[in-house]
Amino acid sequence: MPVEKAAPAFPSFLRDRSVVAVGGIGLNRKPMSLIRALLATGIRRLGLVSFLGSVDVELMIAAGVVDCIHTAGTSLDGMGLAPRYRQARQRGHPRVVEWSEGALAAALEAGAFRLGSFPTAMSPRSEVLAVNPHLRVMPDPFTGEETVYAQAIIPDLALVQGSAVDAAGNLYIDGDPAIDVLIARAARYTIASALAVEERDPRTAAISRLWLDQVVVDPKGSWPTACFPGPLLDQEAVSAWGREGGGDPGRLGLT
Amino acid sequence: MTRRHASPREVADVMVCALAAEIGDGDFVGVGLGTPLGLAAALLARATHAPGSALLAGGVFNADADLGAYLGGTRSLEGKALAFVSHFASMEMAERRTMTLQFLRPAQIDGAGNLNTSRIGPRAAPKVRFPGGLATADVVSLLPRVVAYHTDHRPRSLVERVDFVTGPGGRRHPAGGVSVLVTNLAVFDWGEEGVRLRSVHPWVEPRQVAEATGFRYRISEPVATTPCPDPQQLQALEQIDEAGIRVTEMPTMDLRMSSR
Repeated sequence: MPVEKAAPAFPSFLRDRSVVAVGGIGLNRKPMSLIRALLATGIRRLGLVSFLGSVDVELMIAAGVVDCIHTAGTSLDGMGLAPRYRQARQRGHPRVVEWSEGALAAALEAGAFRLGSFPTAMSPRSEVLAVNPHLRVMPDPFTGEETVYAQAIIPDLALVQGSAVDAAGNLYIDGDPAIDVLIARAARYTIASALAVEERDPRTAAISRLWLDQVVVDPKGSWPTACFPGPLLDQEAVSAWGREGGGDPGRLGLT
Repeated sequence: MTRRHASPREVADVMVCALAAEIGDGDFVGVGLGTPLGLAAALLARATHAPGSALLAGGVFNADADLGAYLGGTRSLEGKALAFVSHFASMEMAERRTMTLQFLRPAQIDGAGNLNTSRIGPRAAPKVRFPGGLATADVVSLLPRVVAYHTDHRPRSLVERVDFVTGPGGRRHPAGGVSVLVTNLAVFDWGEEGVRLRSVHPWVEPRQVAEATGFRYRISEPVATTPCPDPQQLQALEQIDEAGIRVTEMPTMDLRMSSR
């Protein structure tokens, strides 16, 4: 698998209504340059999976390419609510499917194993069950205990952001790897963006090259989100987005 | 003698001490980064009465760091933490019940201990929607104890029935649901007979709590007073949070409550 310096090439099976999973957590390590490249393809009506979302979800809603958003929570963290996401939640379009963190992880785990569903320790009495059609309560076959099962999510494409990649294509993440390893395991095709090429011990890689189909190198790939130990969060860019109600997608680098 | 006024800092400190009192020496406390008062309480417990308690906050284990450094994340904690744990591994710790206690900050809570972190208003047409359910539905069925707090105690926050049950209450073994609620006015706890007013803060009358609470609760007379921080706790809080970050979580409202 070559490590590319140039823009990513998306798989030919990717089309309208495909499901794209985005890694990172909150305002950390969002693969923003990969998202911008995806938007340039003109593919629309996407399903989006963002475990804990922020400007990734905002940019994709603003570009009008999302039909459905799966998330356990999306906001601008300390900089307030995510305006486009909030608007979607109020209007019902794009559709937002609310998950608990545990249940969304279980759905991706099921996807990684190509199972139909996976049990999760989420409470079977939560009303999240009433608003999320991908969750069912069944008795555990051994204990008989009422248990929540999450329907598998198999993303067509996973996009992840790391701090470094080695020449062999192993991806290194400094700090919390969050959902990234799981979406790379679950997805049909995974593209990673790394800040730099560095030779490191492959045993310490967060995501082995075996789970990656392409890696591009972009020192500003996470902008405006943070990517430890590289770029800090661009607070001005993110708070301007929040202040202006998520107005101009150019604010988040969309040309 | 009842005082009538408290500054936001005094309110925050009484709340932090009441939250810290829930932590024992053998507890393993998990704290999300969206709950600074809970984080301050866990740091206070480790610095005072529960030095043996363990703290995992935002994936960082037992760091030699103050509140500001913890909230700064990986970058500001480099070289200070005993271990880093990924978000997913910390969920597994909850599932294995290595973790014993977590702090949550719901938008609404009711007398049955149901927590709402999702939306306010009728389901078909919610008036306010929050970022999402986060881990609330997981935590209530995973952890032996959940301690909730709310900095704006009023009838629309402490309600008869929450608009949406993100995390259900009710004591169920082995996970216990919400066991204690600390607000800017009082402390409640849940037992076999439901919810009880445990204590009112030093500047609060029991009548004010009744007026500000939308759910029914039991009282055992005379109503106890929530302890004020002692000198050792005040000194520890000064070291943990010299900048007073904990006060920023208090609502910008009239905290005196004297005229209502």
